[in-house]
Amino acid sequence: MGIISRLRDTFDPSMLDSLYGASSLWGGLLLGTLLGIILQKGRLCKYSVVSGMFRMQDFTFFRVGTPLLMIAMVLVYFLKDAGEVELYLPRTVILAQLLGGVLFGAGLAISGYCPAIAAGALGEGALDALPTMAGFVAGGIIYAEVYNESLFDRLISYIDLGRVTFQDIFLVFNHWFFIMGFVIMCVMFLIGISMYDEFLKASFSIIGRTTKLFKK
Amino acid sequence: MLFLRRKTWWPVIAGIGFALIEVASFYISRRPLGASRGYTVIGSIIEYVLMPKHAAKVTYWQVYEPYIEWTIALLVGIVFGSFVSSMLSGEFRLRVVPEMWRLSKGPSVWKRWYWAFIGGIMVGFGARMAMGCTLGMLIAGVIQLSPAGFIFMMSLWMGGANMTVLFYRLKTLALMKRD
Repeated sequence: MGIISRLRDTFDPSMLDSLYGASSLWGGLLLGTLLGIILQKGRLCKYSVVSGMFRMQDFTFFRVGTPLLMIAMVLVYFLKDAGEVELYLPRTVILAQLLGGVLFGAGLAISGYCPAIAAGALGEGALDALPTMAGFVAGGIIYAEVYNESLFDRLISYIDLGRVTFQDIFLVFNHWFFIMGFVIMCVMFLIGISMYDEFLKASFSIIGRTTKLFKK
Repeated sequence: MLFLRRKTWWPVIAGIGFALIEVASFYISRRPLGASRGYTVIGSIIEYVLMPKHAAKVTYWQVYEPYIEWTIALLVGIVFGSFVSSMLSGEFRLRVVPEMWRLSKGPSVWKRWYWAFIGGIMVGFGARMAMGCTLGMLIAGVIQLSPAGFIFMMSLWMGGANMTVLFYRLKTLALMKRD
């Protein structure tokens, strides 16, 4: 009896009132549905694509991620300058993010699903996303029970820069310098990786096969 | 609705769509997309439902309160959207072991699920350590020009590439298969 009443406590019906705002469930459901369609159509939620990225065989992630990062950066900063949206900056804790990122990447290489992609893979029918999702929950519980506020946690969260951006650190008066540099780098990377994936990979294999023919 | 019935989209088109969703998230929900918070809140809910006295003592659950919230709705939406999309293009099919894993590690189901669970624990723990996952830290950090996103991007790549070499023992690097 207690369990059911506590389960009912966790749901707050006032979250269903409107579409806007950070606590609205309808907004999350709408954005999640669109994101699921994009993840599935972009061929992102597959083990072979994630693992192929680390094995340097499948460049789908780079080819989707590069236009994503540059277009979203330009649009978000444009809307921020126009006063429509506000930035929501993550905290920068250098050592924690280095070590946590290495652990995250190692787990990603083994299991092949990152938190959003596991949900997409489950919708696509890959049932091995279920133990991965159970693992995410277990990892969060282990962090909260064992690791949080231990000695190691306090040591590695010592260098805490707070919610900063690059233009705050380097005291650049206009952030569009950084954005233009990033966009130029992204365009060059995207052209290179698309050429390799569409065209150069096939020509390399043709050259390899013909030279093998001549060796005989 | 012909474009929804296609199996794949060209990657740049998918990237532009993803960027528009990210901007729409800033506009509608006043925050960037993020997924790993949802799993932590699910863990918090499980502890609150099963043992409420113990859960009240854990300081970390003061930050991640046991209420169903935006990121859980986002995860449900991702499952639903991916299901609808794969049904429309006829790609939906239940599978327990991915094709590439079968080529490099064998067809055993228990081995795959065991390693998926271990990898999931590492991903969940690392995401809590870095305070975000690929959506909430990498993409949201990079597009707001925060150093956190760039640090996380580099360290994720280092950990993933080295672990691939260690775990798959380099001998399957030449396999080219897609499922």
